[in-house]
Parts: sequence; C-alpha cells; structure tokens
Amino acid sequence: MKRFNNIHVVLVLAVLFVSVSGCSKLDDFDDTNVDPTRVTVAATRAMLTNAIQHSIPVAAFGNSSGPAATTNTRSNGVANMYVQYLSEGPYPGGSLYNGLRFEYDTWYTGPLYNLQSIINYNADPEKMAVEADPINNGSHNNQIAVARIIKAFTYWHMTDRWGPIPYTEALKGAGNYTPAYTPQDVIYKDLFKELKEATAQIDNGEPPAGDIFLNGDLDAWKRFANTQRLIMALRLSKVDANLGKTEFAAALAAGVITSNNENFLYHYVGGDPNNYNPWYNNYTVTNRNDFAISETMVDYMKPLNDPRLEVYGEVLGARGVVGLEYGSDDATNIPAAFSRIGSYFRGDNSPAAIFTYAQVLLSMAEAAHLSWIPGGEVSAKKYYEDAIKASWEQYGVFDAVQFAAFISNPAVAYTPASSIEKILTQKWVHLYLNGSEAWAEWRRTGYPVLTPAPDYQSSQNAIPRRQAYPVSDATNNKANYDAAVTSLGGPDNLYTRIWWDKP
Amino acid sequence: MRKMLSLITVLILGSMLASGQTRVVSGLVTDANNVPLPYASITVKGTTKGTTTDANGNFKLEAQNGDVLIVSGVGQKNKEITIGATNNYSVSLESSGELSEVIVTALGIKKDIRAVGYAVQSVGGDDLTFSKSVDVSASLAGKIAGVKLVGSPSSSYDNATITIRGINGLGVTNPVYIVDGTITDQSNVDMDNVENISVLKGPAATALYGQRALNGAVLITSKKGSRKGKTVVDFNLGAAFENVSIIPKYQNSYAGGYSYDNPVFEYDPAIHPAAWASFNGQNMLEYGADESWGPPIDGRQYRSWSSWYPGAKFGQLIPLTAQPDNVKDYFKTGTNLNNSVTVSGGGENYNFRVSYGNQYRTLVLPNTDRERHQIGLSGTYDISPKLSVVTDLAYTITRTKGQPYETYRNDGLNVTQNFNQWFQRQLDMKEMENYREPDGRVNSWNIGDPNATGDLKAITTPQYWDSPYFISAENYRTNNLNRLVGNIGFVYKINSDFRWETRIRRDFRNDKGDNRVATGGLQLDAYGIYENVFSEMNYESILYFNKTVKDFSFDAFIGGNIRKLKQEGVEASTAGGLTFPNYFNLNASVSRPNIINNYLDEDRITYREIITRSIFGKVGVGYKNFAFIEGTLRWDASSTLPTSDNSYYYPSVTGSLVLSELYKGDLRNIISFAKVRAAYATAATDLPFNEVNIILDNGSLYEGNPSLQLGNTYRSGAVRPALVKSYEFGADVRFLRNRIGLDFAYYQNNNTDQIINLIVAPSSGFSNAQINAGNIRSKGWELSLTGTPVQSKDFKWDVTLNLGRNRSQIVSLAEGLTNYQYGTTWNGTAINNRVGKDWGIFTGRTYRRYQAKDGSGNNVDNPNNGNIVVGANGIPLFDENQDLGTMLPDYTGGAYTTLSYKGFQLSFSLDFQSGGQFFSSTKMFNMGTGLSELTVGLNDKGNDWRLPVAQGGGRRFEKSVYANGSENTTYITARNYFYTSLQNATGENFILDASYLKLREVRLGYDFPATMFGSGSMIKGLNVSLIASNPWLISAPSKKYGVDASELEVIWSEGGQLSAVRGFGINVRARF
Repeated sequence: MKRFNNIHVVLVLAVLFVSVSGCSKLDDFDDTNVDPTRVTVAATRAMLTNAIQHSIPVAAFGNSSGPAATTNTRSNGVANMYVQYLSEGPYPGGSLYNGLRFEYDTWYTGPLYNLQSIINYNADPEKMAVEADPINNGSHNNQIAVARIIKAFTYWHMTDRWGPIPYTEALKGAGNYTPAYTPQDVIYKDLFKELKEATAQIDNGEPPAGDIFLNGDLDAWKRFANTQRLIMALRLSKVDANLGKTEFAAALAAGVITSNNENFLYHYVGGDPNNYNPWYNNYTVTNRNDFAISETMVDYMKPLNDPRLEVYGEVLGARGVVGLEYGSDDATNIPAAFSRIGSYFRGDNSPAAIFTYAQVLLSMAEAAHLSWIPGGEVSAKKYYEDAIKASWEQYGVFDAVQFAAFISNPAVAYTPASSIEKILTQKWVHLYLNGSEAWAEWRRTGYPVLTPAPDYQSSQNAIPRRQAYPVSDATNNKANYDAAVTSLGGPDNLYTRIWWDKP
Repeated sequence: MRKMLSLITVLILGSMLASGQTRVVSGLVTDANNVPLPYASITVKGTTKGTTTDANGNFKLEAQNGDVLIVSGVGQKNKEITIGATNNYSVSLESSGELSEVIVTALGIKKDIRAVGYAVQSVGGDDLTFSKSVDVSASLAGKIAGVKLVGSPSSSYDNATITIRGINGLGVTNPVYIVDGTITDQSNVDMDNVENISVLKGPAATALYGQRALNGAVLITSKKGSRKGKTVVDFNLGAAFENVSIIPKYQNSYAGGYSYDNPVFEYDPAIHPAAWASFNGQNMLEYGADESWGPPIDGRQYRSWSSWYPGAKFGQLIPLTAQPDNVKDYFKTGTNLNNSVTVSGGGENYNFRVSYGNQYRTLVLPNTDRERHQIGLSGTYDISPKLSVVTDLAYTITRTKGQPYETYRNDGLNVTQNFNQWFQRQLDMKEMENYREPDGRVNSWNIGDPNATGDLKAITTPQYWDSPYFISAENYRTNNLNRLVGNIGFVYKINSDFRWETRIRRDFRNDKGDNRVATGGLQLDAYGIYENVFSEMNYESILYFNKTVKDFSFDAFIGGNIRKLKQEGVEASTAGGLTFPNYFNLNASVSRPNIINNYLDEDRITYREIITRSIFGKVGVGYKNFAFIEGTLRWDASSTLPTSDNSYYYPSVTGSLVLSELYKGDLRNIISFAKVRAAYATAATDLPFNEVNIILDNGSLYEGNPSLQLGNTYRSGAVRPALVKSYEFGADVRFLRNRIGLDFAYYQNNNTDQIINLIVAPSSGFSNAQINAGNIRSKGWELSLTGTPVQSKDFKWDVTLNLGRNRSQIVSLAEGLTNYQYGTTWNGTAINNRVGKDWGIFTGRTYRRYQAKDGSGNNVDNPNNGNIVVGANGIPLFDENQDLGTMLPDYTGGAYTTLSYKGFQLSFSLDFQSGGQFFSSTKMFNMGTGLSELTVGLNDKGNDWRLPVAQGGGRRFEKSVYANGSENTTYITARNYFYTSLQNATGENFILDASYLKLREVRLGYDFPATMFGSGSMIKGLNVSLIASNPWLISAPSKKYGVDASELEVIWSEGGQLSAVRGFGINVRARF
C-alpha cells in the first residue's frame, strides 16, 4: 500500500510538471518563432527605395555590389578600365582583363526581384491592400509603371554586358528555379515594348512613394524611359537599322532630355556612410588609392586644351593632371605621383550621371548623320557642337572663347567624313567614369581607337567585348547555360561578340 | 623433492620469524576464478619495498611479522594482507575490471560497460591536461578515436573545436558540450574541475539528448567532494610562458619595392623645397610598396621611411641592412598564470566541493590580456534518507582585451597578415616602436613617393598599412563575459526500484564588448559596442526504474524536458567617423550610428527564442552478465518548425553480448574480456530560429526613406525535420588479464532529408531555396588500444593509441543538383559538396598542360606532353574549375602515455592527421610579394632571378611550352613569376596538404612522498611538474610555409593565419 502511494505521488507530480509549463497543448508555441526585430510587412515603397539604391546608380558604375560597394569597384567596375578611363596602381588586374566571369546574381535576387514583387503585389488581391496599399505607396498603376521602367533599365544594362541572359522565364521564384536564357534580340524588343507600355500606364493617381531617384515626378519618369529607348535604339545601328530608326524617332517624339536641367543624376547622400558615393568610399573612407586617371585619357585631352581634364583628374600642382600608364603589370603607388579621379567625382555626395543632355545630343548627331532623323549633316554638326557645349556646361567649365577654339581644332571639328569617329570620341570623353555606357558605344562603333593593354592577362591581346557568365550558372542552371553558350556562337569568354556588336 | 625443500624452507623461515627478523615470504596471486595473475604488484605498506609476481603468479618478498602487503593487479581490486605466522600466502583478488568498470553515458547515467551497446570513450582528469593551457577540445586531441581537432591559432584566445565522426551535413557539424548534465559552451569549462570526460560519438549514444547532440556529445563530469573522506584543500598553481614557434621562413636579401632597380631621390626645383637639393641622388626605397621585390640589401646608405618625417631623423642616411628577426622582435613572451584552490569534503549525509580558479594570460601579440575567474560549487545533501537535494553551479567572469583579429582583411587589423603577406623585409622594428610623431600624428613605414611631391604631409600619408605598433596599441577590442551555468535538483528514492529526479538547469550568459579604430590611422576612426544576453532554461523530470529478477535485470525510465531559450542582443557602431579624436562613444558618431540587426554569428544573434518540449524514455533488459538490449524513444515538439508539422519521434535500439561469459579457464588468461555490440538509431533535427518564412532584410535608409529587400532564400513554410539514420557495430576485447584493451567501432550515418538551402539559379529571384532533400553519408571506423606494457613495483607505463578514419560522402543532393558550393576563396578556388564525391572537394585553377594533336585532332605522343603551356608573354595559361581533391583527412588519431618511476611521472600526448588539404593565403602572398625565402634564387642561366630580365635575370617556367608546342624561351620578372604566374594556378600552388604530427603536451612531474612530510604534517601531498604545450610540430608539409595545419582559422582554409606558439611552464599541486 505504501509503495502504491509513492507511485501515485510521482504520477501526480509528473502531471503537475507538465501543466506548470503553462500550455494546454505540447506542440502549441504561439508566436515564439516570430522575430520582433524584423519587419513583417514588405511595404512596396521600401522595396522600391531598395531597388533604386541597388540598380540605377550601380549601372552607372558597372558595379553589381550595391551602393556602399567600395573596394569591389576594382573587380566589377572594369568597364572604366576597358575604355581606358582609369589605370591601376599597385594591384593591376582589371585593366589587364584578368577578370573573366562576372556575377549577376545580386541583380536578380536584389533589385530585380524587389521590382518584380512590386509588380506582383499590385496585382495580387490580398497584397494590394496591405503591402502595396495605394494610400501609403502610390497608385497601383504608377507603382507598376515605375517598377517596369527601372526593371527595363536594369535588364538593358545586364544584357549589354553578358548578351543572352535569363529574362522571359526569370524572376518566377519557386515557379522556375532554372530559367532559360533569352536571346538578346528578343530582350531588346521586349524592353522597347515594356518602356512604351510603362509610360502609357502612368495615371493621374498618386506617384509611387519611396522614389528616391525622381521624387515621384512622373513626367520625369516618362522622359527617363524615352531617353533610354532613344539610346537603346542607337545600339541597333549595325544589326537592325530599321527597328533602330523607328524606335529612335518614336522616343524622340515622346519626349527626351532637352536641357542640362533635365539630366538624370543619382544623388548620393553626404554625411551618410550608407549612401556615400562609391568613389568616396574607395578613396577617402577606406584609403585605397588603387586608381588613377589613365595616360590614354590625359594624352588625348591635354593637347586639345580640353578644360574638362582638370575636372576629370586631380591637379598635382604645377604638373597638372598626370595620367598613369595604361595596361602595365608594373605595380605603382599613386598618391601625389599620379592624378586620382577629380574631386568632382569623388565627394561623399558627388552624383552619378545616368543620362545627360550632352549624351542625348551626341546620339541625335549620330542619328542625323545616319538619316534616322531629319536635318542631315547640318543638323548633325549642330547637335555635335551643342553636345560639347552642354557637356562643358554640365561640368561647369564652359567658356565661349575657349569653346570656339576647341570646336574649330581639326581634331574636334565636325566633318561628315569622320562623323562617327568624332561623335563617338567626344561621347567617350563626355561619358567619363560611366564606363559601361562608353564600353557599349566603343563595341558598337570601334571608336575611339584604343590600344589594348600591353600586359594583358586574358586569352587574347584585345579589349573585351563581353563578360562571361558567372561560374555558378554552369553548375546551378547547366542545361540552360549550355544552350546559351551554344547560342553565343563562340566560347563563353571576353571576346565573343553579342548580338548588336557587329564588326 | 620439491615439497621437502619447501618444508625445509618453511622451517628455516619459521626460525627466523621466531627471532623477529626479516624473512622471505612467498605466495600466489590469483583472480576470483583462481587463475594465477602474472605481474601483479606487491608492496609493503608504508615502505618502498615491493615486488611483482612472475608469469605464474608467484612472488617472493622479504617481510616481517605485522607487515601489511598491498596486492594489486590490473583490472583487480587491491587487497591487503597482514603477515602472520605462515610464510606462504594465497591471495585471491576480486576483479575490478569489467564488473565494476562504469562509464558515463547520456544524461550522466553511469553504466556498466557490459551493457553499453554503442561507442563511448572517456578520458580521466589527469590524462586530460598534461599541460595547463589547453581548452576542452584541444585536450581531446588524439585522445579519443574518431575526433578530428579543428584547432585554433595558439596565439589567440579562441577555443579549438572538434568534429566527431566526420561531418554530418552540408556544413561543418560540431558536438555539444554538456557539463554535469547542462548543455553549455566549452569556454565555460575550467579544466581544473574536470573529473572525467566521456565522448558520446554517435546518434545511438546521444539518443536521449535528442537532436542537439546529433553530432556527438562531450560529457564533462566535474569533480565532487567525497562523503567518506576528510575535508581536503587542494592548491594548484601554474605559470607558463609562451613564444612564437612557427613563422614563415623569410628572405633577407632584398628590400621593399616592386622592382629590383634602386629608386633614387631626384631633386626637382619645381616641386621640391630648395633645401632638398642636397638630397639629389640619395638612395630611397619604394616606400609605398607593401612587397619585397626591391633592391638587394647590401649595406648601401639609404633614406629609411623615418627619414621623411620631420624631426631628428629627417634627411638622415642609414645603411640598408638585413633584419632577419624583425617579425620575431615584434612578438613578446606571453604569460599564462593558472591558479586554483578547492575545498572538498563531506559527511554521512552530505558532500560538497567549492572551488575558485583564476587565469591570467597574455599573448605573444602586444597589448593583449585576459583575466578569468571561476567559482564552482557542487554538493548533495540528504534531507531525509529518501530525498536529496543536489546542485552543480559554475560562475565565470572573463575579461578579455586585445583578442587578435584573424583572416584576410583589408582594414589592416591583422598584423600577422601584414608581416606574412604584405611587408618589406628590411624594416627595423625599433624604428617603428614610436608610432606617434612629436606632433601627434601616427606614422607608418608604408608612405608615399618623395619624387612626386615636396609636400611632406603628402609624402608621409600612409598608403595601405599603419604601423603594427599603432594597430596593437590603439585598435583593440574588449569583451566582458559573465556566465552562470548550473542546476539544482531533487533526487527522491521512492523505494529500492524507483527513483525520481527533477532538475532545473540554467545556462545564462551576459556578454558585452567593444571595438575601436583609433583616430589618425589609415582607417576612418570608429567605435562599436555590443551586448548580448543569452538564457536557456531546462526543466527536466525523470522517473527511473531498476530491478533485478533472478537472471534478468531491468533498467528503465521515462521523463520529460522543457527547453526555453532566449537571446537578445544589441549591436551598434559609429558611422562616418568620430566627432572628436579618440572619443570612443556611440555618441561620437558623425552620422546616424549603424544599428546592426542581422544575425552575425551564433554568439551575437540579436534575437532568438526557441522552445522545445520533449518526452523520452528507455527500457533496458539484461540477462545474467551476458546479454543486454536497450531501446529508447524520444518525442520532440519544436517552436522553430512550421506550426502544422512541428513534432516528431525518433527511436534507438542497442544491444551487447559479453562473449567472455561463455568460457572460462585458460582462454580467460588470454582473452580476458570480449564484448560485441550493435546499435541502430534515428534522430531528427529542427531549424534555427525564424527560418520558416521568407525574411525581410532591412536595407540602408535613404534620407528617411526605409529600404527593404526580400530575403534571398525562398521558404515555402512547409519544411520537415531532417532525419539521421545511424548504425554501428563494435567490439571491446581485453587481453592478458586486461592488460591490453582493444576497442573497435564501425559506423555509418545516413543524414537524409536534410534541410538544405538549395542553391538555385539566382535568376529565379532567389539564390537559395529551403527544401528537404539529400543524403550525406558518413561512415568510418575507430580503433582504440590501451595497455600497460610494463608494470612493476617502481615502474609503470600506460599508453593509449587512437586511430580513426571517416569518409563523409555526398550521396545525393536535391533533384537536378549535383554540386553545392560550400565556400570560396582567392582566384576562383572553391570548396564544394559534390554528388558521389567526398565532402569538401576543392576546385580551382590549374596550369594548362600541353597535349600534342595530329592533324585530325587526335592526341599523339610528344615529349612535351604534360608540360605547362605558357602564353606568348611567358606567363602560364590556366584551366578553371579543376578538381583538386578533398579537405577530408585519411586518418586522424594520436596517443597519450604516462611513464611512472617511483614518484616521477612523464606524460605526453601526440596527435596527428594524415591526408586532407587546406587553402593557404599566407603561402600565396608570402611568395607573391617576395617575402618568402623561396623567392630568392638563381635561374637556369645561373643568374639571380630577381635581376631585371634585360640583365639576364628573370625566370622562365621550366619544362614549359608555347601553345604550338615549341619550348618556352621567355623569361619573366621574378614578381611575374611568383605573383601572377603562381596565382594563375592558385589551386595547384596554394592548396596544401593538411597532414601533421604534433607533440601537443608534455608533463614531467614528481610526487613528493607522503613520508617526507611526516604523519602529522598539514601537507598531505605535493606534486611539482614541468609542462610544455605545443612543444613540437614534429612534421607537417605546411610547416615550411609557416603555417601550423593543426591550428587553422577554419577547417578548410586560412586567410591570415596567426602564428603558432610554444609554451613552457611549471605547475605545483599541493593537498592539505
């Protein structure tokens, strides 16, 4: 009897033990697994801000590592070295074309998927009212339209680097973990369509909130989309002139940048380390003096007395702007010996130019020369000279007398015979540090004529015409990767030409 | 005849006895089964006299009436006999070996080794730490079969870690550390308090701990007071000194610079002050170069970097001389003081042990110190004959300053990386010690080019490196850790069959610290703080049942556990610099401070909360002493799993047969014990906190606009617990009266249905998708041999040898997935988990090798086949993504041994790894930047290869060809050879063999005999020992590159490995 009692006591206590833990069901944990330090509602306005931070300015730097990217400028911002804007000091690499494969992973998982989600949420009956509610985030149409424009801009930048990329089947999340690659011509045509439809979709409702690029100015967004269309159209000059001509004219008619006041600049935030200009981070915050203005650039601009040179490069006292030899594998220390990039470009809040008036005018000059737009060589010359003036004004160095001398210098003066070379060379000068755009224009036209790096570390003694796919695609998306490489018509390297790049 | 002689002997001895003199007695020692015991030892109590039995168990000894003989044998209980009238004694010893050999198993349950159906191996206190400085993991190196040590640099405060039975997932899997039943962190263990460590190797052994101990458990049992003994006080005083033992072999022939040519100051009146005209033509160096490809160190007069700072040295020329010991000069002698005092004792109804220990340790790096205090308390008190209250508590305070930074960094905070990877060999440390100029500025050896400017401020601005003295003196971090671990419980003996134990266990940690980047260096000044509060409560109640009915023994329990874990932290750092120089406060932030809200590492999680509820039980049945079978079942419900499917069961079955029970007689003399065992177990695992749904990541606020990104891992919200199925077989055989023991285990774990963050094409919008898939199979064997090869009265030799082999193989990943990239490092080098291959396959660049082809593209024989192919510029071409073998070792193991002679003991331990690889950044840059002695030599023309190519220098790749197959005749500069060309085949050149054999610990001690102090003395025992830790890395292929492969930063690579150190010291133990 005694023994029975003991067991009884134990059982009672065991039951007590379980119930003391304060739960009616052993597998019910309420919201234990919810993290109070994290946001739980993905407001589309915050997703838009994030997408802009990681796409629009990054494209200008040819850099896929986000706004705070610093030292990675070396590996990702190589286009600035392909077109010989910059030379490398102690650790030459990118300027010797030693990088072959370049990542685009963070484009897709970062800004592109955020933008796709904004588009999806604004069409999803549940999310429309919560994540994308129009009172806090802007009208559904305007949210979608702006997301489509930024998405088109980002994809355009990407396809110009790699050629065919996952596009039509991309960004479907769990719906497709192995998207096929879309040929570049299909992408281009779809991007024209997207830009056209997106500008048409903009309505009179509230502009999207969180728009840190154009601050909700919907007219500016239309102008941005049209300007992109215009520049994209010119890419087709060799491969599909008919389509290029049509799109160019349509874009122009729809309204592009018409003055320096309408330049599209991405503004970095002074005093905010998370939104510093990447060059500021590179030179000033982390003290990496890895880049100097190249001798190529200085040797071209100095004899012409181009006043932009002292904006582009650091002035080293009496020695002025001193360029560093391009494409040598000799290690060299830069500070004081060679000119870093100019302070205009590397302040903590120095803006990044995305599209500019001078760029548009130079494109129009070429279009006039090609008879894509009316006016012939007379207009071409005028657009060309206006462009240089706009460029000088943009950099704050315009002086009428100096300008007159500059454009009458035979090396600069417009002649129909050397039209393309002149226009593209001036475009190269103007687009300084927008390496990805300058590199695309060089590939399309072959101008300016550049000598490849003497100490090249790639498979050919030549300037790259493409970048190879990230190594992970060959393992994670192999069948589609293999098909894409086949469609390239050459090896997956730096030298197989993409669709619009014709000899 | 023999009997007659014996009789005579007896008579003679008898007459001696009668005279009260010393006489010879003889005897026979047998075991409980009347089998004679050879080599048993016999000593006369209170004297040093003694002998051992011969091969037949006989002994002879001089003794006198009233002497007490202590008879002892391996695996036997000691027995005392008193010499009386007879001269011949038969002594039968009771076996202590198996019958009473118990081992600590899961939940701290002590079990007869016969009944254990899985592999458990234990090490006792004295064998754990021969030298005092080691942590728990390092103390197990080589001492437990199947354990692989993942060392940490001996010149840091980090703990080593171990893996048991290989790697059981896509990531590296480490065991849990359990102190007196409470799961905690190994840093909390005071080795002076450890009685015993049992290592539970597989899921069968750890089934009752559930998923947390899936990768093995290290069970630490603390010392306890004794109820019988008197109160004793133990002092343990240790002092050790440590010095750097392994650094790369540097060259001392060439100074800093990028090229051989000696730079000369060129006076330019346009940019330089007129006063500098006299400097024209002076030798300089390329100060800004952080490499050593410069001019020969030949005593020429030159301008050192310091001669460009205003002051007494300005303008001075000094001879350019070699500084072979500059790196060694920087390091100091570290000190390790380790002291503890313990009081323990007990009475009829209680026992207790209180201890206080403190440790003070400085490292070989300057400005480092750590102070640690630990208070321990354990005891039991019987409230009534049935009810006892028990407790074990440990409170630890640790204050650390200057924990060294590791890995490859761009912020210059790892000074070892500076010395070994980016340095100038001629630098004199004495010149650098004073890192502040009189005007308060911080100086550096890595300055600008005086030929470029006359502005001294511009010249003396650091390029890429600050002074290493500035880094260590002012850019340090601190940590303050308070930790309380312990339990309080009740044991209620209901009756002879039932026992009920209830415990509350708590592991509480408060951890705060800061880090600083001082004003005036290369990096923007900054200050960061963090604070973390971790608390885990476990409420546990178990009802035990033990009963023996005739030949059957029953052993069962049922219990429940509730685990509640909560961790909250805050971490913040200044942004944009500090408002005032060296104002180290968050308030000094120029911009809005960064609040870090992401998971950084396990110790610094900003928030997590986990509740697990479990019910578990066991039933074991034994038949005689022969057969045992045991089954366990556990049910867990976890808050971290999807609410729809958050609980799971997992069972285990184990069994053992003691075959030696089947025979007797002579065979017992040879095979004294034999057991075979088998086990099958399953275990399930849940998720970390908050990994059920897609995460939203905060981005960087832009002018008040919040920024948010959808997480990159797709989660469906329906993930299931992962499952491990494991089986093992083993045998435990003892030979020659248990003098030699052999334990063998074979195991296989199938880690199936793993919760994998599958890598998907990022173009889907996600980089990873969380799924259940895959099978990572680890299998292997372990062998442990213990023995006492010599045992005599004065001399004893014990030795244990361990050997293990594990293969973790990727059987499958998810459908369509053949490769999972685990990590990446320089130049496309990666480590992968690849289906059908061993865990951790390295891939990377190798040189392209020549293969001649005929006109139709078929391979043809050619003497140049296999030679390196170079480009037209003489630099080798390479192929990417080549398979380079695995990081998994072929074998791991070690040995430890103690030799005792009279009062002396000599103990040492060895551990080794054979095979396996790691990636070495140190080698890569040590060669690439011209620091290594391997970068000095003559080319095939017999000329110094560092000379410019035009002067007959440079080097060409021997046995190399151009793409067309013709012999390479292009000489390239030494820098191109060692930097560019070697890195072009990073995989081939910098993935090193991780094998090593290390003498890890040595102790030479002497026990002062108790007689020395006299019976009335306060001193009951005294031992003085000389100790050495890491005294000798006997052999390691990586040693010649200055890397100790037993101390890698991470299991497969190092980015800026800290130097290995060697320690020597003295330790005194006294008992009162």
